[in-house]
Amino acid sequence: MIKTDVVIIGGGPCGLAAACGVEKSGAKCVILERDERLGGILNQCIHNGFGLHVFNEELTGPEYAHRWIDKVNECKNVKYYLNSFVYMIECTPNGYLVSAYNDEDLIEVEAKAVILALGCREKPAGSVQLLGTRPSGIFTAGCAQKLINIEGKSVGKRVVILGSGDIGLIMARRLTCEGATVLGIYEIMPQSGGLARNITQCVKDFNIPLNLSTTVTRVEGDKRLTGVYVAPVDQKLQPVAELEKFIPCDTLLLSVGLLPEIEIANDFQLEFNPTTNSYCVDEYFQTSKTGLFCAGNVLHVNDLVDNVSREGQHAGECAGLYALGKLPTAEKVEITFDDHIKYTAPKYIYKTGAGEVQVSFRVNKNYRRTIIRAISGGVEISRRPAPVVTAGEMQTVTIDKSKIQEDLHFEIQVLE
Amino acid sequence: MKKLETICIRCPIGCHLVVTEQNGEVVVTGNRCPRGAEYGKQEFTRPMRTVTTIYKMSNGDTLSVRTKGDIEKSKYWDVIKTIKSAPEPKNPQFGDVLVHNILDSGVDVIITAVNKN
Ligand SMILES: Cc1cc2nc3c(=O)[nH]c(=O)nc-3n(C[C@H](O)[C@H](O)[C@H](O)COP(=O)(O)OP(=O)(O)OC[C@H]3O[C@@H](n4cnc5c(N)ncnc54)[C@H](O)[C@@H]3O)c2cc1C
Ligand code: SF4
Repeated sequence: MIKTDVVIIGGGPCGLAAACGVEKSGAKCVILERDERLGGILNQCIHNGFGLHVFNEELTGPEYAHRWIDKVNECKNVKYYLNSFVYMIECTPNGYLVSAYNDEDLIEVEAKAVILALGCREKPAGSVQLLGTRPSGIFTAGCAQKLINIEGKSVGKRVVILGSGDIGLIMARRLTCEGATVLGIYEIMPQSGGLARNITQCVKDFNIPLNLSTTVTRVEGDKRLTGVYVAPVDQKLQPVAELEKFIPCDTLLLSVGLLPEIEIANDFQLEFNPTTNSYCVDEYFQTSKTGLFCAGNVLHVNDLVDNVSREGQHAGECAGLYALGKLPTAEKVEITFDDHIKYTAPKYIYKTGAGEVQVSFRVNKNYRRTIIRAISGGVEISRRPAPVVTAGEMQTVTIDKSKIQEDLHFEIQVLE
Repeated sequence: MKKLETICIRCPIGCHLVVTEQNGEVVVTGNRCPRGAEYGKQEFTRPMRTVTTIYKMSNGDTLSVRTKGDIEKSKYWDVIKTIKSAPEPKNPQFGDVLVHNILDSGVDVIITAVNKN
């Protein structure tokens, strides 16, 4: 059995940054990663746009991962194990025991703190209602991304994409560059869930039709997909049957959302947030169980990897301090918000007085001309005009903790 | 007055830019940082893009590659074709140049990952 201060489950950008955070705190840690290399999902994201905020440079996913792997290799007190699939977390008198399969062997690591950095997985075909047969040629967008970018395979020639999340948008461009024809992207909502920049550079640049308030209703094909039916939806998001039409195609990509990989901690019955499908955390990224931390995509789906690294690093530092018995606690303040906002991470802040805390949140739809305000004790303590806030972008506000009274409320004033 | 409404693609924040030409001067609004002003001006006069793609090795491995700087958007497809038909490198490594000065743009194409298959 290995003994350490902190175990980090997952060696993606969150886990890597968390390891650097633990190192900074002066504690020791072990990363357990199920894949044969570190970097997580970044290894398959070959497009650029990573790292502008952390490195002041625009890198591709693998390059961004490379930078952090280099940092981790420089850490004196970080060890990592690859090909190690974590299947269980248990409580022990000393903290936690984390068990993983490593090829044939078993690895057990005991630590005072655990950081969940497992990322998320894609919602599978079964999570959308598609009538018809189940021919081949239906892929989740991330699976297609891996096949094309890492394995160098082709997924099909005439492609329809259902859902306009970022991975779907990015794959629309990738498929086009690899010689396939993307016939259209169909999004059931009136707006895309993807980043504005991806709509510009992945969709508009290539004249790919993006159809909003439209969905795929049925698939057709025996062995291989031969086509899909699409239809516009009404205000209740129900397809209008009379307007259904057939589109011949051989491939359907699903980009319908991501689910945090939280099952590993199910037994602890942690405070759960149905909006994020994950756990609630305090400003240390600690769940409702002390010593159990959670950050990155397993906490909430991030569109900016830079945010993931920032969260991971902070969670790592806090977990390290916790393990060393140096993490300050104080009275908890629960963050509240108006109904433009879907959730905030963290949910709780401690009244430790000094310093700053960053609060991230998402809005429920797109707004123009807004002011993002934070109010405590009836006084406005932060105010930022935001010309555009979209459902696809995470917002982050930095709060001066010395100004926090008994409560903290976020609101979005919409001027238009 | 010429006017362009676009989205800054310099980082994932995606500021909504309005670019106008006033008395011969290009003016950008809506950017949160100076890179956005630069991008807006560029997009107005001569749009540029970074190209990323993969290069397939004959042994089944793949190389992720990117142009080290931006190239003219109008040359996007020519750049992709040139990368795909580049001579196969021996023992490619992270950071190596796959194509020097692609299409005389002054920009190199570099390897950003080597994936063993
Ligand atoms: C398919 C897909 C494609 C994406 N594409 C983009 C994109 O193009 N651009 C973009 O900005 N963002 C993209 N994202 C979002 C991106 O994942 C995040 O920005 C960021 O990578 C999240 O970092 P993370 O470390 O939290 O999670 P991940 O990068 O997912 O890392 C989690 C790590 O945990 C490991 N792990 C999981 N379970 C276990 C276990 N039981 N035991 C041991 N290890 C485990 C995984 O192998 C993985 O290495 C994508 C996400 C997905 C799912
Ligand atoms: S203007 Fe600056 S902050 Fe806004 S998208 Fe461009 S690079 Fe990002």
